[in-house]
Amino acid sequence: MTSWIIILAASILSIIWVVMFFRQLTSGLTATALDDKFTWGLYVQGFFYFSALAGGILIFIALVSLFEISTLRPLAETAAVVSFACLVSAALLLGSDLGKPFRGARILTGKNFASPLTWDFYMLSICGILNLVFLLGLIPGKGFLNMVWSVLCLIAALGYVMIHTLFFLSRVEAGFRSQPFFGMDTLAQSLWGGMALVNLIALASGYKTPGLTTLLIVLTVLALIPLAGAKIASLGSTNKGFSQIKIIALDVAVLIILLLIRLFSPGNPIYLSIVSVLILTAVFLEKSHLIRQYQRKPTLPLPYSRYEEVPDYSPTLGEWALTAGSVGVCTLLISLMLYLKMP
Amino acid sequence: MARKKTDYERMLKSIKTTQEWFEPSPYKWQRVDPKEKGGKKTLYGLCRACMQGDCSTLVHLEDGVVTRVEGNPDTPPNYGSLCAKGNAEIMGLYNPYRVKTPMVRTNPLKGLDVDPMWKEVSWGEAMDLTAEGLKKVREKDARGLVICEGWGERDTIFRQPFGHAFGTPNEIGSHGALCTVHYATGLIQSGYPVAVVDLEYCQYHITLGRSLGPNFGIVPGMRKFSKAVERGMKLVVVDPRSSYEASKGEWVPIRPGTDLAFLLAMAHVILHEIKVYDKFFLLNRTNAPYLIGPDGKYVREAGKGKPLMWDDLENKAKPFDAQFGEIALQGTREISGVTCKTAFDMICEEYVRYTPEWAEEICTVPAKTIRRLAKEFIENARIGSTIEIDGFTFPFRPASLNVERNVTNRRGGTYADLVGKIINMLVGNIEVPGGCLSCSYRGPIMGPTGDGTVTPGYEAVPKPFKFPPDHLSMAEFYPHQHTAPHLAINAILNPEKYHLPYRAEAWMSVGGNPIRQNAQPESYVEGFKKLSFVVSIAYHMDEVAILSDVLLPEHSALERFRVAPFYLQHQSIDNEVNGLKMIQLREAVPPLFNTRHVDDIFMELAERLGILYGEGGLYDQLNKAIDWVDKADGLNMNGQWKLDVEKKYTLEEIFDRQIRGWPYSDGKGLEDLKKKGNIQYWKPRKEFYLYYYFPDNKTRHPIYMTGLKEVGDELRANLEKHNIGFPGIENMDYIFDLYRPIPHWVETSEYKPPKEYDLWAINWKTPYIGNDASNLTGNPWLAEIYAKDPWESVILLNPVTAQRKRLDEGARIVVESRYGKIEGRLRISELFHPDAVGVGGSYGLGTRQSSPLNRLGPNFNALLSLEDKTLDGVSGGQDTAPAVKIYREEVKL
Amino acid sequence: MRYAMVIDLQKCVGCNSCTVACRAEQGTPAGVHFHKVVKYEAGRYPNAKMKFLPMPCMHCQNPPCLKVCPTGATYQCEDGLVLIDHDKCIGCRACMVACPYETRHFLWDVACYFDGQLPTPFEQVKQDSFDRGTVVKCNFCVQRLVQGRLPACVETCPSQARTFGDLDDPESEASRLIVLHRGTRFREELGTEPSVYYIKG
Repeated sequence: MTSWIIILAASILSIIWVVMFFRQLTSGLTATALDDKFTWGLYVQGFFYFSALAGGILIFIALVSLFEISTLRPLAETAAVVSFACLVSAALLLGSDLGKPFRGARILTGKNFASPLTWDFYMLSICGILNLVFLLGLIPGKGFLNMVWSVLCLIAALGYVMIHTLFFLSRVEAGFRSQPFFGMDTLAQSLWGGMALVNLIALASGYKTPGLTTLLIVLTVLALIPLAGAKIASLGSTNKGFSQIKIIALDVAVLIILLLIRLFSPGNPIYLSIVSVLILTAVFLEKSHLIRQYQRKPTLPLPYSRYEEVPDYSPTLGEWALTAGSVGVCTLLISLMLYLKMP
Repeated sequence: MARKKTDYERMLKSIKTTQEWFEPSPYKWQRVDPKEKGGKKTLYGLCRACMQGDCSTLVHLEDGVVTRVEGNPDTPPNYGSLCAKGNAEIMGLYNPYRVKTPMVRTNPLKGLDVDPMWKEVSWGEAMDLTAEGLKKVREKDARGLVICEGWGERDTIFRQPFGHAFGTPNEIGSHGALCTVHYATGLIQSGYPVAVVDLEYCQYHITLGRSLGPNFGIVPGMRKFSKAVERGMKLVVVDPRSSYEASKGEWVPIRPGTDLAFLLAMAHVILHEIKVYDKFFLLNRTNAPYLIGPDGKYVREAGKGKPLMWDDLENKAKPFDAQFGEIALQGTREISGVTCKTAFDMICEEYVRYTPEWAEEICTVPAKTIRRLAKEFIENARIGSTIEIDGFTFPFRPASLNVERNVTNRRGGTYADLVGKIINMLVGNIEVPGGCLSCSYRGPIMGPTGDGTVTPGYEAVPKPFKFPPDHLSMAEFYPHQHTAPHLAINAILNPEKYHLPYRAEAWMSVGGNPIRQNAQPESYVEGFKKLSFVVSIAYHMDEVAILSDVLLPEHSALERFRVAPFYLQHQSIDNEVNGLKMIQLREAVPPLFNTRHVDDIFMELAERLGILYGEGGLYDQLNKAIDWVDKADGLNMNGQWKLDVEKKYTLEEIFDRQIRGWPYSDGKGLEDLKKKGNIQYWKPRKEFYLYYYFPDNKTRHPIYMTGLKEVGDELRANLEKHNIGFPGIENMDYIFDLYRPIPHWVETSEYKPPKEYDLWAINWKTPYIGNDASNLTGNPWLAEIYAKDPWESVILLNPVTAQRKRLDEGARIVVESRYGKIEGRLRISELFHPDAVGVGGSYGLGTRQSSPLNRLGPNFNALLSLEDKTLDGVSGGQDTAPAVKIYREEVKL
Repeated sequence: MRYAMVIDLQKCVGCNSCTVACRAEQGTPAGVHFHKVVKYEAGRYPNAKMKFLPMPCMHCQNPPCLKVCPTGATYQCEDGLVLIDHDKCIGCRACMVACPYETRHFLWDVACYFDGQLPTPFEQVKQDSFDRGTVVKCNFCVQRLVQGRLPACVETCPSQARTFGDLDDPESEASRLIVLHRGTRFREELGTEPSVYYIKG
């Protein structure tokens, strides 16, 4: 029964996505709240989010395959469905963000190998193909093909997660306010979010994974380190922290909850679900912080920008609708693929 | 462009909902004519986006559409450059808010926010109605017609002749009341409109209340200015605002409205502390050595002959043009029992009390600075040096001081202008290379009167007194007035108070908009409602148009065919145009709408009124007319080229005759002009400096202003004869204090105001909106830029003052003078004197049917006053720095 | 042949003629200006001045925008100009994030100048080449350069503050000015190697 409700909701959201996408095709990106000074908004954030989650899951699957951990193999196969759906959502969101979405394939013909976007596109495409191949059951549990697949998948997934650190490179200022922790932040968020999603999948399919909670604790700490480091590095600057404190507080709260769960009620599905959702929210907020951090300052330094307004961004209802729509598409895809996989 | 609203767009949306809006449906432009596709054409153009209106342009058309207006390379005065306004002129042509066809009002109610419920009519009907309305006025009393001109329409040759043919003396200008800067130059140098700086030679220039070019984006001024700055000229700008020009030189901040004190102190320092001045000049080229009696008048030979000077060698008084051994500059003498002093002594005596310390209290410029500037001025003037140009030896004085409207426009402003001239005369730089030059006719106009002093010219020539007065603008009471729409509207509102023997019935607007660009707009609207007939030769739906009964739409600037003489620029001069005489052509772009050329309108109107042909008719008046600025060197109807007053002419034919009759055209006509777009003639450079025509001691500039005293005395006598006071003023002495022969300290109406009015609002022209020549405020290309400009369309305040008033950046505040109030957004800037509130440019007011951009921004003019006691009694100029108080705007719930 | 522009900041009086001339020449849609003049203040009362920085596209020799463009729509010519091929642009706006001079504009919409009105004939003729959803920027008036003319902003400047020329020619006015007055470039420390030099700033 609940599955039917989910499918219905997901279908409605998918229809919303289609409607919003076509509306955007006719009216252009003026339907968003973006402007020349704040050019990447909710869609790019959503793209980073979904691709980060997919990356985390893919790394998990690749490691499971590489080390041939047969006990985790069924979980990995279910997780592959989710990661594929996340990749599709990421692609849809990115396509919605382009000024000319139907020219998107030109990235392949562009051959500009100095561009992080080109490599990102290649890696994502490879991940998508590998994921699809895995989904179709073409990869055996062991053997040479399995190893090749795992290595390729690991490189591609780690690759695009790391390439995402380069997107804002020109905005990073040198000196004490720079973000040396950026790289670690992206990777940590990806793994953390991915594993939280895997945790949810495990709980949903009734899988018992005792080590997962501990892994989550470790990953939470891993996610906190770059955030705290960046915050300390920015102390003393006159720029008020862009809600960095709130995110750190949320992450610390998650850590405490996880520790409490581990100590007092390990394996409790309700608590674990709640904390997994919290983690997913935290990752979403961190991605939001990411795109705001580099675009909220005027590009030109003082004193030239003394009279410029601080660029601000508050997504329109249409943008939220389209983003939610892509979540709906993702869910619908997951349902569809699970249905097809079931005997 | 993103959908995130800019500040301007947000304001636009807010006025659309809060104020009543006409909400016209978008104008459907016609698609490009397929016959024109692929066609390219270039026309000669003459820019009309600013007051100067002389930049040569090329207008490019593609597919029949104007796609570019750019400077005409190698053609003076702009030599290929063109400012933002000129480049944006295309949007003045393709402006959907233009008046596109003749219209007649059907709603008897009038107001800026009242829909006139226009009815579109044919040209025939509109002209019939207009002729009928004007005929009624002419039959009753021709003086009842007011023709109001302004910068909006500068491409007419028939406007003034029409007024003369109609028989009304009431041609008033909407623009000059805030810019009454003409008296002193007319008196001292016989020149017009102002004195400018010689940017070719000047090394040290002090400027007050004006622009040399960059401040309001005048192309030739900017060209010369940049070269002067590059060659090292030192510029000192005394201004409450650190402007574009002040940022290229030294900025001396001054409290608004107190420049008279500063100038008096400078003169004091030169006369009493430094005591170095051009003695030769004073003795031989001014009336400084003239002997003055106790009545303040010249002591004359045998009581009525020529004025006397004292010969120190022969120890006796002689008439000024006799042979002198040694002229005495100073000293008290007795002649026939009458004690008399030299004019110079009297000036020195008067100026003893104007110490820099006294001035510092009033104007906040440190006494040290005043002394330093005076010293630098004297040092840089190189008194005694000469320069040879074209074989003629001129005195060389590369230092000068010029003042203009933000100094002269208040009570005592004429005095301030005159003190500036006195300072210039002390170094002897009048009309010589490097010095203070006028910018009108070049020729022998500075010749002496019978008394040996320069013949006053232009506005220094008083208008004759008559009682009851003829002029609506009170020219009889303000004989040296510039344009006076404010006096006219006062007379319309209160005819008895101003002794007016008739009533103003009709108003004909030809490019003039005093409602928005003068003061106290509500009073103007009230005055308009009293008129029985208002007709507007309108370009766009401005404040005057929406109050009109008939609208006669005219061409935009690009569509007006025109042949114009080149006038010298009002900001500065250098060798780019020094000596140039030129006629320029504007080839008209084919008209877009059902509009007509203003001169065609005048001719047809005159014909319907029966005043086109015959003696005294329109053509006859044009024959008699002489170019006001350039006299015989302008485009006049000369000799055999005068019009036959019984024949009909087209505008082209008339221009052809004007060109042929021009002294420098060498027989060329309109067809020759069309070849290159201009006809140039370069006079020798030595003939440019007026000193050339009356060198050495052949003429004397007045440093003791007898002319002013005489006019004042005569006016007082006339008032007493008719047993009337000065209209609008309780105590006559308030006016006649301004007619004394030695300029002295007087208080403005905004000096020492009530305690809560502790700041003064100031205004300035901007590079985007020099004046309202083609509704520049409503030009979207310029609007996009001035919306981003940090110092435009906001209210600016010094940070210390803002802190004192506890106001933050971006707050909505109200600025209130004793005459009106405005509101706007606050911006804090270091560029302003702590006592100044800056509201620049020309924004705001607007009407229910004008371009939405005309409703935005603070309307500075609403703070100004029409009251008689705030004016300068000599020039009639209004005060441009009213005392104000500021406070936070209350949030409307 | 390496084009460069030299801007004399002492002569520049912030009149924005260059910005409007660029708009007139290129016919850019409402809200889009290829050129801008950054205005700011320096100093404190009573020693405060207005200051201006005219900024066309810098046409960097080491352009960050070119590096990040995934389709290769942004390309560099032999003479140093950095141009955009509008048929290849997909509107990803990575170049706008990368550019440190804020010189690029995304055509969110090709709006018309008079708010609430329809496009004027000028827009109808001039704006065919503007494709909604792509990125546009200053191209040093390349269509005028091929005719042997100078960019519109250079020709129109009333203060004659701008010079345009060939850096490879040591006799050209541009080269001469840069050497004589020690021309500097804006935000040079980022390593973009702009082609626009400022003197007397």
